[in-house]
Amino acid sequence: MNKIGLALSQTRTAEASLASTWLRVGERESVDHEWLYNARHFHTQCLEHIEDLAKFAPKYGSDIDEKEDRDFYDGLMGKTRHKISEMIGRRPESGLLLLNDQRLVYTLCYAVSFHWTVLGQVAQAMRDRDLLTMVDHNHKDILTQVKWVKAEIKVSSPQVLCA
Amino acid sequence: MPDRIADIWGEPTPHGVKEQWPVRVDQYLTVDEAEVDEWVQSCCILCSNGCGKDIAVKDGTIVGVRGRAQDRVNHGRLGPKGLFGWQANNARDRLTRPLIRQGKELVEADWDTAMSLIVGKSKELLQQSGPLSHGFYTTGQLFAEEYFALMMMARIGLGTHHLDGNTRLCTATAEWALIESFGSDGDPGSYADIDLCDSLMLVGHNVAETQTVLWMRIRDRLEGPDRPRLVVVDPRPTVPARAADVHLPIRNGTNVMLLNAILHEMIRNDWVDHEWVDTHTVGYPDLVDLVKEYPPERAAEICGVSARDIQAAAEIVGTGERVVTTVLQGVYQSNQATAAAVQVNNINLLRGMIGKPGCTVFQMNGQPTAENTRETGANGSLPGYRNWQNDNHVKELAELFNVDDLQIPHWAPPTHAMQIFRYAEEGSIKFLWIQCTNPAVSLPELHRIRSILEQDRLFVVVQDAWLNETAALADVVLPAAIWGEKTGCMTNADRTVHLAQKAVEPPGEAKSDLDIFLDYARRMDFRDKDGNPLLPWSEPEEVWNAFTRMTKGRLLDQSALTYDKLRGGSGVQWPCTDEFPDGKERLYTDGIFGTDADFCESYGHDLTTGATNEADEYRAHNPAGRAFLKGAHYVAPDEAPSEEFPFLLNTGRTVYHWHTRTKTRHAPQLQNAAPEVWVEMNAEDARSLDIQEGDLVEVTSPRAAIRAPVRVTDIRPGVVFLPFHYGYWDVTDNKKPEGVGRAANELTMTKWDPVSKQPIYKTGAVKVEKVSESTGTPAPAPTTTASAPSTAGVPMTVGTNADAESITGAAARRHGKPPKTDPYPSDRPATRRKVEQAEQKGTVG
Repeated sequence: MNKIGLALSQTRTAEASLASTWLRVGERESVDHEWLYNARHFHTQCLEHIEDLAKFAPKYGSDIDEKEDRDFYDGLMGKTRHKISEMIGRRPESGLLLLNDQRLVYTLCYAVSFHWTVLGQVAQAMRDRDLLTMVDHNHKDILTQVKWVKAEIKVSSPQVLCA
Repeated sequence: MPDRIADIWGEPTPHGVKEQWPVRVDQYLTVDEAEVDEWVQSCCILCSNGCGKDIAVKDGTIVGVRGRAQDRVNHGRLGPKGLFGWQANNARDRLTRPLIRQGKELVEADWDTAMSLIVGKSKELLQQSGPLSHGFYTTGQLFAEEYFALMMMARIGLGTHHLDGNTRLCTATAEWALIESFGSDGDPGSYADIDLCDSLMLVGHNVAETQTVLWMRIRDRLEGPDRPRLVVVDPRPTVPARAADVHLPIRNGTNVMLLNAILHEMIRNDWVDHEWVDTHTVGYPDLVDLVKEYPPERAAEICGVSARDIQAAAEIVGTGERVVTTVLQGVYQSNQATAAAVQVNNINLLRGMIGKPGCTVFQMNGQPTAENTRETGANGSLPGYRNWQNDNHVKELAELFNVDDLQIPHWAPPTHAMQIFRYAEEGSIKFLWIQCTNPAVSLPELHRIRSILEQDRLFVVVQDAWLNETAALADVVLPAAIWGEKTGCMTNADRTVHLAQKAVEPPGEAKSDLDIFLDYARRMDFRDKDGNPLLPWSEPEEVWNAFTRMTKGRLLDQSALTYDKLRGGSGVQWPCTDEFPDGKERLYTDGIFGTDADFCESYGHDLTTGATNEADEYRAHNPAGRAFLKGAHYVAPDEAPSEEFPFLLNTGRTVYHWHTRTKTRHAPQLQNAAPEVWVEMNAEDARSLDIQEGDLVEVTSPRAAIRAPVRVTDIRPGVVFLPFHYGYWDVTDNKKPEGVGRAANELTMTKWDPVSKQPIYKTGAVKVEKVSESTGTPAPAPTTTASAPSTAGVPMTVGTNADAESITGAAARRHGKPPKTDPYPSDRPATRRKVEQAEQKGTVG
């Protein structure tokens, strides 16, 4: 694997980690409907990014299995997290857990954004227009995720900590 | 004399494009006209249209109403709810004294006891957990003055962000679609554009039932010379759909797919005013890229209509010379609400058809004073269409209210209704004050809403005129005066402001909503930074003047609009300023929109996720007055039909009722026309389940089940429709019966649009099972509307009150031509002919 292949592979690892976090957070916060549905949407979006990365991997001597480590909605752990969410959903402490989950996805989104920035620079240096188009599109998705989480943090933190 | 239950829209007065819409004065009196002591100028509050009307008073009681001939909105006309609904004012079961909870009972108390309880609880909670422990859930039916006072006491006085209206359920998407495209709320057009247009497209807007008088206006064009071409998007066989040149009965939840395909066709055929688009919009290349992926054939498959019909619809809006488009709940309460509503804006923007006579988009309202919650800051934005992310806007407000700018909550957007209920669910909101709305029947997933309101740890105040399902769960119930018993202003979807004046005294000890708010504010002793009372008013007119001062310099400037100006003649449109003292008919006549970074109401959102744009990036690409052509890809609804739940659920209104019927139940003509719940399904679907007209069925969603008799109609196959008006207050003493209920919202899901946060009531999956066969009685659904039967033998819906005789249509007969025998175009599709034939059979049978 050359160094560019490594960068693709690391982007994949970061996206997979974010995908799996969105899934878990969505289950943990399933009584908060804003989170339930958007977390699902963002989870799917990350999986699509991994598929895109897999398409470019062979060209740069890397091998990305987009199905590897993939989480699914209906796993036993998922159901458990969903149930726990319902059980604690009527306790004020659920807000503190939400804040914690916000911190988690916020920092992971930034980590993923780092990798897309790197790949974007690579695509320009390699004059690979297809790679650049893919990177721009997917990086934009991640920046939208960042914006979404940031807006949510602004909404929830006063309620969690002041009310 | 027309029976205005059977003949909902009355006698037509057809006219051509160059003629004024004729006057026709509608009136309903329960006494002889000579016996009326006084006529008091007002405005109708039983739909969103905003028709000017006068209230007849005899011996201190309301005895009837009359449409105002000189009013620009209705030219004298009234719909059935407007004619008959006022009888609710005289109902014997009005609340006349405050009630307070003692254990399981609500017992009568005096005002001082009730208000002391509320204020005591407020002060205790402020001490313990601060202002964010307070939530306020208001309505779309108070007056501007009342919302403004409520905003002042909740946001500025207490300091909570948690104030929203049930307007979130009806009009939030209108507001946000206008903001996303034009930078500011405010509908650009005039109802007179209906008189002038040559092409009309109604998207999810059953105007014949939701705004009967606006349909009269449209019908008068359709039946006159220079008939405009009509496109209707609706899964139900509504009256406008039957009159349409192109009816697109799409699967509910697929609006974005359809509209992207229509935009695709407009661009492919180059039905675009490029010069105007280049000068007045941003985003055209991105929109072109986006809709490339939506050829009509793809949309045809997803939406379940023919590609040819999609092309025909695109041709009408693409080639018309004066195009009016309208949008209502079929978009706002459906999947991807804001994204779809914005695509309709794009149709007019691509044609450069905004701010010109006969050319506009109407993002309609669902309630009579919904617009006023938006203007006063009682829901999604700061007062006066101001932007919470713009520090200068916040400073302006701080100066106007003479408070520190940190006293104005602006760390995030104002909290939306569903989030307020979520905070009450998790326990961080402990005090919830609900006014003039009935969430225990009208919010989605009712078992959840009831369980939130029933909590002991939540202190619930309900301010209403009736002891409804929500009031029954309250800790304190405050008896409120209603329309006709108090004075205030209301604004409709074409920005016409009316003054609705007090005609009679409220019953018993009931007080106006404004007086209740001012009493609370006085007891809480809210003050500005100089120590003066924050709400120093005692009369509605003082509040109105404070409100209009606050609008100066904004798009909705009403600084020259006084009570005096609103008395005597027609309603007046805003802006109403020194420059336009009689109001301005259309916005954006110069093609300059409210998008400048210093002016705009919001920096906008990603339409798919709702992610909020930041000030810096907006300023970097300042559109500076150009409108946005925004787009979004189609995303399938979260809850699609499955093997277990094979039908798509649609919910909505019928013409005879208003909301949860607390008022219309009290007008015998309206109540008898639609006395009980029903469920509509297509004849093919009914046959496959061995169901016939009138059979009782159980409708089950993943959340709950309800029972209702079936009305077999020509609704789109695979879709069932339930009216949402029917709860429990008039059948089982406010409580849902053990087992299966009848309220449509038992079935609906907790999900909302990512941008407007409007709940989704019009997608969701259900199954239908037969419970028992009819004994020969048809379903109690009106035959006069979208619920018209497709089977013969159902008796027609008619008025039951003999004094329908006193409703006059004299003016109509002077001006009008006789109605055509066949109002529909001869080339209508076969399905529509079938509906009409079935109806005619129904009439004979």
